[in-house]
Amino acid sequence: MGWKWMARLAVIGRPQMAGMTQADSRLLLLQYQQQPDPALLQQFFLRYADSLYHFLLKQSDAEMAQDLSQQAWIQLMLRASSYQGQSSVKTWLFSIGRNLLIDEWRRQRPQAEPELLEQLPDPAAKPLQQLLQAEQLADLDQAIQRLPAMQREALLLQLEDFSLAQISEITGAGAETVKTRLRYARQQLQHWLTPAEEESDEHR
Amino acid sequence: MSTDKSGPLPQEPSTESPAATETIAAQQLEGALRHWHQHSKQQHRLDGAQRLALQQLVLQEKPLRRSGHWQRGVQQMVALAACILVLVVWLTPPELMYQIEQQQQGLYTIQIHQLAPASDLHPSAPVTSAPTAAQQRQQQYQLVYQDYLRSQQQVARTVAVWREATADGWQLQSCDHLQVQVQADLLAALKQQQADQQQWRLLEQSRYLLLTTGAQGQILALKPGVEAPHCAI
Repeated sequence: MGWKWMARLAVIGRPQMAGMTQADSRLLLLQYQQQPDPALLQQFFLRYADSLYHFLLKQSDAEMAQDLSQQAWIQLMLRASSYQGQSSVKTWLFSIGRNLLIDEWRRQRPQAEPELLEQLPDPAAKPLQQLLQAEQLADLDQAIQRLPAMQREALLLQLEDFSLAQISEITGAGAETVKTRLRYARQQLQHWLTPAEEESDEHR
Repeated sequence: MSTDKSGPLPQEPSTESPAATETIAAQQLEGALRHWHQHSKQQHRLDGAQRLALQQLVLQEKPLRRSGHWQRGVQQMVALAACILVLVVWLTPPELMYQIEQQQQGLYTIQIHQLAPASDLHPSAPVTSAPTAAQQRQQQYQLVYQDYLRSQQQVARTVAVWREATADGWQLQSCDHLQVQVQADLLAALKQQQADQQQWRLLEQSRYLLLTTGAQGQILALKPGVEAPHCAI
């Protein structure tokens, strides 16, 4: 263990959730490797539990999301010693959660790969302007649910403020593939949420 | 409306053309997505019970499975297993086998009955040159002949013998010029196997014995004899 990050730890002590940067969370997990104090894990939990749960929920259901969240946190505890510090803790945690989700998909539907689980668009399109209103957010939610799984996953991760590199790391896909998925996801949403007459006006 | 809506979110570094990302529709979509995400996260948080259960899980003092720990455990297990193996090999007495050694001395055939470690019975074969065809035929002939002899001696044979105690066991002598030496270690083993020690004492006191041997010449039974062997002159 290097003295530099030990000194850094002494400075940050136990940083509060709001001020914790990705670097701090890395150091905290490295500290946890040396001394498995549950209070350290508690800080990760306060910071990332809801985000992870939401990420899983939007790709499954409440029961599965809760179950997978639990499994992800258990794995994080058990595998903390293998954490090398190359990626952020959040990226690592989401990778764990994502792998659990893929395993669950394969277990439930062994014949169907997530990439193929594309669903049909909803013809009831609403103008984008209306989507900013709370009551119309459900339509956007439905549209997002209809995206192919890999596109939805990339979009959700990007909305979680992960960079392209981090999304690539979590999903195991190349950066160009991730960019393509994001582009297609947006094109698809735009297409579904734009009324037919508005689209035809634009094409004139 | 532009069809290129793939511009990154406002927080992300731009990966697409600025002209495309600045379209109204794209901005609207990005805004809507951000708004939806915030709203959705607010709506779909872990509820109280779920949060409590997860927090308890996290706060629970769970032992961290550190790689060093299990490696040390595995090393200890391997070391322990190795020690046990060495002890077992070391403490296991060598396997003893019944052995008959036959010698010819003048008119007498001398059989030495003894216990010997199994390893002594199968000494490593000396490196010899490959047998010739004639030698192979001779070996085959000997095997067939030995089988024939054995087939002729399937029935156990009992002969009356004189018994003489010597320093290293008993010496038994029959009328047909056969001397049988029973080594002390074999006697000890026989005595140990004897259920009725009274019978064994009678055997030890008897001057004459009835010796029963099997097809291979091994001793099957020793009984006290009531009279001396009657040898034809």
